[in-house]
Amino acid sequence: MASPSHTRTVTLKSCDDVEFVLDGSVATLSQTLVSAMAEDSSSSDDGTFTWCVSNITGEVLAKVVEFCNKHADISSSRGEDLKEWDKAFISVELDLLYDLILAADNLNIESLLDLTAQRVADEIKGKMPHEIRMLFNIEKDFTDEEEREIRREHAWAYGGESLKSFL
Amino acid sequence: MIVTEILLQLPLKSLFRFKCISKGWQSNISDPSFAHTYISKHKSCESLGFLYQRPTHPPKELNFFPFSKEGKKLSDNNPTFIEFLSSSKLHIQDSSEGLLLCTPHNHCKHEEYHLWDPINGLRLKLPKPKYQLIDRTFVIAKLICDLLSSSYKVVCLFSQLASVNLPTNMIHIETYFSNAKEWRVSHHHSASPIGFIFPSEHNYVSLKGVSHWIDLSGNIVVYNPDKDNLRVLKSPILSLQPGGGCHLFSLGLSEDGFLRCSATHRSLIRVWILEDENLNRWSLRYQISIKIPWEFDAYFVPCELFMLQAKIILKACTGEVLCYHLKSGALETIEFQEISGSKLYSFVAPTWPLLAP
Repeated sequence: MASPSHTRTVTLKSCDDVEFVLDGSVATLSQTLVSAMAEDSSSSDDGTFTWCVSNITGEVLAKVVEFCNKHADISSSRGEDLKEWDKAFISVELDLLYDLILAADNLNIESLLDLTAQRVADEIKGKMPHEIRMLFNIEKDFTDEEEREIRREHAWAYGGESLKSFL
Repeated sequence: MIVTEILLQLPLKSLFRFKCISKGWQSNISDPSFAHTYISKHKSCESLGFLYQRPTHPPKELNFFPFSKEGKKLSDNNPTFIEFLSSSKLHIQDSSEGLLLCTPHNHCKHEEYHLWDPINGLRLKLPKPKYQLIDRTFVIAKLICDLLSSSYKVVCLFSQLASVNLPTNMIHIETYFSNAKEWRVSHHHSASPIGFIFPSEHNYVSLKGVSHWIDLSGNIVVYNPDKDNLRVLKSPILSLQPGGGCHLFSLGLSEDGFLRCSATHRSLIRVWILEDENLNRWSLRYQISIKIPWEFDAYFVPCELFMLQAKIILKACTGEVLCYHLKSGALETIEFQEISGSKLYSFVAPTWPLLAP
């Protein structure tokens, strides 16, 4: 039987073989790890658990571990301070941001997923549809006529005046 | 899905703008379960500001008096004009979840109701109500929106002028249900008599889909349109000693979402919170004596109260709108002439458009 996760340490291994040792309580932020540890019956006696993250590099994983350590630390996890910390933490280049989203999704860390998704949303919210297509490499599968029709239906979403600017 | 996670964090306007990016994004955004998650995540009770309309005949444009976006400071005196179809000559009657209820008349007729979404500009005329209005009766028409079931109701209570002197046990209500697309008239016999309900925008509040009106003596009529159930709550105002001069009442919600009832007597404002509805138990939350900023104090009668964070917004009988800071006790006059004498409707950020094309 697996012992309760908080009594163990977890070793995370990136795809380029960088290892990170996490306290069990930190690892519980990741639902993926929680499930994996619960299923793991071959736990070694010294209470360590190793998990290989196949598609995440050491650079990205280091950021993920930094995030988890901060968020699991109850003494620092308070309101405004943590918000400031998050803000500074997520001020990264877009490439790293996308990698972080994938990692948050892969490891199923809800708070990191929220934070990264929010940052992407902030990045794209002011843009026009064609800019989004370019940014994410999305192919337009509507005909011009269909696109015009959708735009006509939601013409309010394209203006910028008065009350609408609050949305 | 990662795209869904990002979409959930977008403001409403961007979200609807991005519907035309691809079929995948469109079906994501149009999925009812997505709307459900989005609404739960973004639902807020925070007021963006006041909608107001100068009390003119015919009615003119609707204006918006915004608080700052963070709600920290009241407006910098620049009301944002909302394009209103002035040719429609509509009066605003109520605002709920970003949707407005309008009528072509001011209170006295019960014939025509319009819903108007100032965000996407859509307008809808409701079918004609059934109730035949008798003379000397006011209609207090209110809007209740339920985003999660994407439905709304218009609840009309008929308040007879005769009940000023002669409280009545008969209450007539007519409700429009958007799901059924029809009106329902219902008559209720209340155990305790109800006095006149003045058709002011602050004698009413809806809480969890239930309507509350307060009469001139301090009885609160509680009506649940879904259950067609009416009962009367006693407000703590009933136990106040008159002590000369009149008390003015208002209903609303507290910062933490309870039913709030306030009485103002000259410069003294008392605010109660309904702690337990079944036991009819109220607790006095604030008792504030306001230093009147004018020489002639007799003219200062705060008529209406809004509570936003640690602020109470007061409307004086002189028309002035004031902001009282609960913590510091400071009183700030909102210097804006246009607003005086207008009805103020608190406008909450719409979470999801209820009227769709």
